[in-house]
Amino acid sequence: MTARPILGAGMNWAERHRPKDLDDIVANPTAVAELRKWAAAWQRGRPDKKAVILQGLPGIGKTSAALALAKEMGWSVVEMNASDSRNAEAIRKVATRGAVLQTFSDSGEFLRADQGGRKLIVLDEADNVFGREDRGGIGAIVETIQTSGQPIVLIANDYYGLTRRSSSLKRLSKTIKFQPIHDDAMKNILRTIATEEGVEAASEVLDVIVERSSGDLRSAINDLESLAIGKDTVRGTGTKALGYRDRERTIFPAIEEILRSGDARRAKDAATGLDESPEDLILWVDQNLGHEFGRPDDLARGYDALSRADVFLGRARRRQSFGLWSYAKELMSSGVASARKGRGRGGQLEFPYYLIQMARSRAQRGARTSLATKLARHLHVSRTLVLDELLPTIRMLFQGDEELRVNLTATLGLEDAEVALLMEEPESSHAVKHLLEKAALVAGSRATESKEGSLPAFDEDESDAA
Amino acid sequence: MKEIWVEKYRPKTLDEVVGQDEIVERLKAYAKEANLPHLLFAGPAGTGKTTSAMALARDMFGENWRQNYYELNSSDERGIETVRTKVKEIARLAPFGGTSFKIIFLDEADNLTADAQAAMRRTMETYSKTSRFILSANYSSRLIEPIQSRTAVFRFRPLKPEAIREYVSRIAKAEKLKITDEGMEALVYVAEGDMRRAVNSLQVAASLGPAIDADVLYKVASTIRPEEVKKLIEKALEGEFLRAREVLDRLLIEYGLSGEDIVRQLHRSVFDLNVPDESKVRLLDRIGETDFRLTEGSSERIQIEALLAHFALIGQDLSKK
Repeated sequence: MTARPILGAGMNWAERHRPKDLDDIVANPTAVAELRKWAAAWQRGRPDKKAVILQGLPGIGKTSAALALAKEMGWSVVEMNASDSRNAEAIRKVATRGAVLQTFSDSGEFLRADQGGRKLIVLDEADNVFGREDRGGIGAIVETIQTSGQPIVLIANDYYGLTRRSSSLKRLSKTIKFQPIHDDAMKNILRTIATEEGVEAASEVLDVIVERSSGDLRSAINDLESLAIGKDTVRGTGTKALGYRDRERTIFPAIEEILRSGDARRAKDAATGLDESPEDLILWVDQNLGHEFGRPDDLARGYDALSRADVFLGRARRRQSFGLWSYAKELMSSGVASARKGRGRGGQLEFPYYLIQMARSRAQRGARTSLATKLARHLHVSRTLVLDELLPTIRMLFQGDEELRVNLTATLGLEDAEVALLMEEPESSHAVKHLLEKAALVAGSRATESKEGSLPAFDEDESDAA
Repeated sequence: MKEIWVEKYRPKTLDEVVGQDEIVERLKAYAKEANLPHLLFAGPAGTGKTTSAMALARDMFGENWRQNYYELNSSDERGIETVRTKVKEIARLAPFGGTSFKIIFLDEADNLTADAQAAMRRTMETYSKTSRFILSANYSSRLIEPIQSRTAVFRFRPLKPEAIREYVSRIAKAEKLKITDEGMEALVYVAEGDMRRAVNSLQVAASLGPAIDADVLYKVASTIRPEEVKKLIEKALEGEFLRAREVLDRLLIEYGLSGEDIVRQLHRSVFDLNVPDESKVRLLDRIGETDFRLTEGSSERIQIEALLAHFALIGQDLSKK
């Protein structure tokens, strides 16, 4: 069993800024509301589903929500996670302790389970109850749900991994899904944390952190903390990214050796002397290689070496065998250095902008993907085909005919960012707003019709198949 | 109600499907007997694979066909997890309304990874009582042997000009359009046997005005085809590597295409390039290598840049001659 660390100094930021109250969990309001509803049912007696499964990607607030719920309800917490042994025996032990034993509450008050002091049993990383090591674990969980008089929260990243092992588990539990944290929300949270920690963080830096996190708030907070250690400002700097400014001082001379020395040994030494992972270094070489190598044969040879280096990085990542990094590092340094036969172009070295551009365009790419998904389903084709081939056609039809535009927006339930992409107008434009209003009217009148059963079957969304 | 014509005029029954007469005959027999082996529909885009599957389901199950027809697209989610979870979950569902099985249409099945295909094979066997699969693929050879051997294979050919003319005329009549003879020939030409492209071109042309002639159609054809990839190749061949890279970044960042999408389009355009055959073969080899590396999880930008550098090298050889 894991003891909760004492709140306060010495903890990492992710732990220190863990939301304490359900109201602080701002990014998943629907999930929080469902969780409250379930807890309220416990106040009235026993709900139909004694357990909930909180499902969602790592770092988006599932554990925080469970703990905050217990606090709000005045329940004490009995917690187990993957680091504990969770065979049938261990789970039964915890369950009975939760259900029967008397304990002190957090405030030191003496509580007895049979006098209404409820205990929330929290089984973290429930999808990691493995068959072999944790023998009978799933069965014991099911049994606990069936026999225990206490509320149980199961937390899982991989819902299928959990429920496919036991259909009764699925039947006995209510599932609440947590969504990854939206970019804007995450940026706000990071900004607040930075302020509370007395650190000034530039907006561009936060953008890059958010991009890298893919909705995982905990990893984003860890990134922010690691950048801010020992500093009171985290700035985008002249080159606007993850504290790269300090790194330019050391990276640029090494890039010069790689691209301009023409000497395999010197290039290798420069790369080895850097405190950079090859995953990062390759971005800098890539950005500058195209500028520096003028002759097409040099460029082709240089990129052959660089792309081979990239292949090794991929292998290292996939197999988690980072010994392969040495080949990658040599190929991207010596390999590139020895590729140039002609003269270099010289000139100012550049920061790898690609990452930042990717970060900035993330919201737009998200809208493009969701638009493509909706169109793909409507047109019975793949998303790739929509993006690859059909989008220009649909865009012309959409822009050319208002009635079609309104119908399509209503039928597919398009949102402002998606409509903006099809109209090629800004999201905030009058044209986009006007269209969404009209589409809402059409959708509204269709909803009334469908109650009367007049909606043709062929127009139905087959979302049940997706 | 105005909508996209490829949906509005999609044939509803097997009788309405044009240009695939032999296939339709066989499918009708299945519908009549209300029995079905697992099927594999192989053939290029826009030849009626999805349409035939939907029409078959409708003919077989009648009014409430949608309750027993599921459609999944493999190119968007092609890993083994999809097969283990989604496909399996659907496959094990009991069919509705007293029919003995339901139909699961797995589009672009040739995009499933080998692992996923292997998992499919078991799923097809285990649940064949409640589920019959129709797999669609551009290339049947990209499906593993065990799957090919478990399915009845139907080869869809590019649609003949008569079939395209027949269907387009039906739409023109319903929409009260006037297509000139030259316009019809142009439409058949730009369609290249792909009915979806024919109907899309027609609808875009119709949105520009009521008279549909060859000029309008060629104009439409050039505007609705994505040109960015062409620009990418042009710049690279001209030796403008940095310009080409800008286009590449735009495709990856603004257009949101995946590296594999771009490589596939590069592949498609190689044979239209104005370079000697020997260079085409060299490029094909490079493109194939790039494609493979991307499937292994390499970085799309660096790998495609390396490919562009080879386009530039071939461009230089050409300009020397």
